Amino acid sequence: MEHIDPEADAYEPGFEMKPKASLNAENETTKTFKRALYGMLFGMFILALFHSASLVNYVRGLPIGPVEDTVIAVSEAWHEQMEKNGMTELFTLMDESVTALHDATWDDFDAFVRGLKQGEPPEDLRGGVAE
Amino acid sequence: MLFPTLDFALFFVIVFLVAWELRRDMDARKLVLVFASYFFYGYWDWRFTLLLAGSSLLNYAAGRIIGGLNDGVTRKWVLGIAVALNLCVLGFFKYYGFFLDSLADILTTLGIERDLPFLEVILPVGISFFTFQGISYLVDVYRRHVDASRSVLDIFLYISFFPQLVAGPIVRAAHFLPQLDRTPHVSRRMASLAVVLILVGLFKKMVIANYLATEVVDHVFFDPTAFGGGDLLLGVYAYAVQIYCDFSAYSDIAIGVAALLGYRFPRNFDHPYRSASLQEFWRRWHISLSTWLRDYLYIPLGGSRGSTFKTYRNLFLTMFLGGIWHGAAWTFVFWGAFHGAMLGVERALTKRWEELNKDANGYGGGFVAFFLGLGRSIQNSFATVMGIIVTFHLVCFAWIFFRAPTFSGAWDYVIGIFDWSQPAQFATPFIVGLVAFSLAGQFLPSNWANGAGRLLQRAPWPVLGLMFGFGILAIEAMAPEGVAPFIYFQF
Repeated sequence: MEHIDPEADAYEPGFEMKPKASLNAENETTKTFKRALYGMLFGMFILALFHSASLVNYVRGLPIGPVEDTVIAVSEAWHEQMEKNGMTELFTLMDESVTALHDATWDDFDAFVRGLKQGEPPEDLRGGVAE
Repeated sequence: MLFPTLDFALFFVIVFLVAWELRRDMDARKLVLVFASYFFYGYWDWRFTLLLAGSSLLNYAAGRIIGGLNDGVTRKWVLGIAVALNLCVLGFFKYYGFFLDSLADILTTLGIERDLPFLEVILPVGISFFTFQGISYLVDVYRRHVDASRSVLDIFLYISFFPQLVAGPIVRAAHFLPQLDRTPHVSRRMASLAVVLILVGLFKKMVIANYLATEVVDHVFFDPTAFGGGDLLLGVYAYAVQIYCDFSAYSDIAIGVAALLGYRFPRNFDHPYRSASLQEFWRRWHISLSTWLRDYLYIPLGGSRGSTFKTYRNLFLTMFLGGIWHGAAWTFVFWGAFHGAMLGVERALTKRWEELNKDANGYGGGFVAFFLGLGRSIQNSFATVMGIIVTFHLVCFAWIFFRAPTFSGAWDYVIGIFDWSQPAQFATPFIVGLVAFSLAGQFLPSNWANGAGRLLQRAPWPVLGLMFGFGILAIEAMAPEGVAPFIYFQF
């Protein structure tokens, strides 16, 4: 009890009692902060795995210097490894699918709908690029 | 620095880490956030930061003076001078060139050609937003809605806080300053909703807005005479979707980023294209600006308290000045004036409609009342659908003037819509689908993002990371090349 000042009927700074709700909020904030931080870092790692090309594009825009040169060399090596292990294929697949949708004509769309109506598995909406 | 870039992602991770590590030392945290905001703003041009600091100092000093005065007249004078100074800065940067060009045109028309002082003024990004925030603070202090802040750091952070600095939402001092006095907290729910808002915002901006801008809108507005009615009609619908997706995306990301730092911003958009009247549209579109105009312009002008004429005048003036706020061009003047005039027409028609309905209510009860009620309900549903269609097209008509580079270009566009002699070349399934999908999204429940956030609330960090990583990966794969700046940066 030596931290209580009986004259002022108050606690010394740093020894104030905190309401339980406030402690809960603080606890939740700490947990949420860690959760969001780990989530963001993990998300960035996923991007570095599956979309390493954007990393290379980014570092190539850095100014010239010994550190930057090393960063570029490491990024390119990383991207090469990702390509070799097939990690970049997911991005390419998604990109090609969107390009196919983008380039589809009304005839492609018509054929797709007809396929759906006849109960046949519809062919992909392939535009000029995919063909 | 643009939100959808790796630069911003790295910047934000560092700020997020440092800000939360300093959460028990409020002053150090605020200092870091001010420094980060100035770095974010200075990334475009460091000279702009001097203007931002000047504006913050002016508003801090004026707020202290107003807060310390008791004499009503003196308070009013100080407020008037401080608001005028804010508007002078805004006016100089935003309207100097416009007034000079207009003056030169008038003089040429009158046959008096003069060499006017030429000065190339660069428009600082987001100047309209932080100026309006400054004015909001001063008026709130004057009205005693908020105490004049003793902390210069608080005002610097309020004016410059990076998530909303360059394109809103316009955050009120009464809403934000009290948050700076409390220890910041972030709940699981807030963080989950933030992740949803950031991902949705990135999708709206990088996929929908960027595709529509680069594939349709930029072409048709560049030279409307080169295209037929079909393309021009699709172009204006596409622009309606583009500007919504672009601007609301910025707000979504800003709200999400601020939430991750422990601050709550008010909602700025609420499915505006499902409005059945223009009045409703303005309650759903750029809410922070429309409420700003209502509270700091429409109501001080007298609002709807005076005569009918004064109400219509106030309505018109508010929208007219809202139009000018967007930019120094006759197209914006027309856009604001059109909305003001149409709001007046709508108000008059609604009044007449209510009077007619009042007359029709005297039929007694029983079956007659039931069938009249049923009829009215069908009538109301029909009226709502018609209201949505008419409101959307009025808004689209005004968007033509908002987007067109010149007034004559806008007229060419409007006239061109009625010429259907050329086939529509932009109406591919992808573009039509994108516009239809986006417009259909306007009819989602208002709180769908909250629901999605709630679903994610219990997810552990690896799930959050997977969603974040694969979400951005998918957006990157779907988006066209390059990152265009947000439309509202120019305001």
